[in-house]
Amino acid sequence: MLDSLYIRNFRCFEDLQVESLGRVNLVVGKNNTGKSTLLESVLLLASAGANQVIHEILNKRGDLLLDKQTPNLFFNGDIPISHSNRLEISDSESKNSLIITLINQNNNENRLPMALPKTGIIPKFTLNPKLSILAFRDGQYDINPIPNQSCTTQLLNENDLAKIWDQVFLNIDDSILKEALGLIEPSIMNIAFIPSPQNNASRMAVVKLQNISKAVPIRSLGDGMIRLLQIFLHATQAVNGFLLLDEFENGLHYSIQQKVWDKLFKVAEELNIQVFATTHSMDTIRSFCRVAKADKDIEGKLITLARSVGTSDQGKIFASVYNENDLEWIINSGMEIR
Amino acid sequence: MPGQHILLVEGQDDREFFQHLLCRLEFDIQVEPETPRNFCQTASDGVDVLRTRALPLALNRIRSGDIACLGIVIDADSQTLGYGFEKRRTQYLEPLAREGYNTENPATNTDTLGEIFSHPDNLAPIGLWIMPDHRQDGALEDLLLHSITTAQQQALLNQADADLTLLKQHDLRLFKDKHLSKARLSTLLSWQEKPGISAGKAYRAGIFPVTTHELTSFHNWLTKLFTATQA
Repeated sequence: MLDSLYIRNFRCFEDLQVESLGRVNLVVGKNNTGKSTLLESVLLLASAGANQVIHEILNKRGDLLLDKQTPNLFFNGDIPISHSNRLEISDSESKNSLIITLINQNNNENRLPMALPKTGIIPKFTLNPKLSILAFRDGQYDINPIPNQSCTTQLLNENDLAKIWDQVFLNIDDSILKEALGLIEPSIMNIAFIPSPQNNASRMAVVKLQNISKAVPIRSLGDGMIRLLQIFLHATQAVNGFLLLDEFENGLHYSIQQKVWDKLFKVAEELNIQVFATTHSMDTIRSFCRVAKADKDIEGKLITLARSVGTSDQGKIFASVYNENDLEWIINSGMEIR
Repeated sequence: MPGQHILLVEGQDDREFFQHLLCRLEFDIQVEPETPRNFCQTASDGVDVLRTRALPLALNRIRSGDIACLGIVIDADSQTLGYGFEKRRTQYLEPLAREGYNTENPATNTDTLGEIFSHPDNLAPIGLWIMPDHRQDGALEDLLLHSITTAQQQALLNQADADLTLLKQHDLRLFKDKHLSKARLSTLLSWQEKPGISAGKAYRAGIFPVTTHELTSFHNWLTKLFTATQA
């Protein structure tokens, strides 16, 4: 679990310090203040700068389509010209420190933070024929990822959810999923993925409800059920790692959000997951606050991101962190926190 | 969207008063926090919550441009506990100085009191007014009591003072001495045409004439602070 977060030279973050983190963290801020990028930074850190993750981050915003030579991975789209301009994501412990730097395949000596073996170096990502990216965590470049799961703003289709289900259902206690879905429909007894009657190549999620003999398609119970399935299926895959939830409130009516936070706090503690979620919704902030305040054992923190209007650092993104007591007071005070 | 003009005050009663005052002055200024006083007191007294919770949030909102001008109005009515004017002022100047505000040479009005602090980075100005007159120990109630000028209201106040003295003689004064100003004002307001009228509504009704030196100084400070950043 990260105790804080320092992000340097990554996309819109020139130099961002998040001074403390909790077990469950809710990130708020106006548009274009880096909420999703903060989640991506945790993803990049956890994956140890994996090629696939860098591709996903760049592809998601169309950066690879626009400029394959100098994609927008670094701050302002600049290519770091020396190790001092490296991309860095870390907390206060060196074992969690990820450094991404460049290797010039013709001459790598002055760009690397440490001596490397003469052979066996496999660049994580190739920018152009000459420049490649190398990633290091805790001074090592050949490192295993920390478990991580990204839950995007879009509701996944059931076929994609079925693939995740296949990976986890033999290894987890599925009571977590049943209890989560029960937040909306308490009569759920079981869940399964079956071949779709319309297309045998794809599958659909069905649930068995008390006192109803036939299985019911989960989609017939509303988008909220799909969102809950998406969130908690991803959680079961993030054991001892990170769960990243972009726009928590998507598909969830405000009246159910407090129960979902409550369940998520408990699952996060039980499975040793650190959660990072984003929102634009005051209802989501309020429900998060109530749960964080009520659950004395599990720490919840609210992180605000904003751009400075100061003349010396105009436009620079900065972070502020509020604990449960601060947040409770702010919400009751009627002062704006988003 | 331009930033908001915010006046931070200590509690629900003060908020109601300043809303009436700003309405009369026709200023578009939001008075915060909305926090009921009893909620404030779960953490501490109102003024400390203002300093430890509302001010840090407001400073972050200034840096993000959400606030274009900030006024802070606090009391200095606990001299016996060591919270007189000087200590209150120091308590508030410390976080402002940490944020880079120029607290050494604040802009002061030539014709009145109060302070306005600028920031070298062009961040929003912050004004500080410590009740009653940014010089002496006291509270909002003292400012209002000093503003009583009409013969009728002065006579009522004299009667209130006599009754409060009588209560003490009969050992029936249940409030602490430091709350004497609050008791004097509450008694005066309980004897108005509408018994128990709030201080804010009494202000709107003209019970505290705005021509008195004390209120004029405060108005001037508000005007200088908030009109400096009006679009």
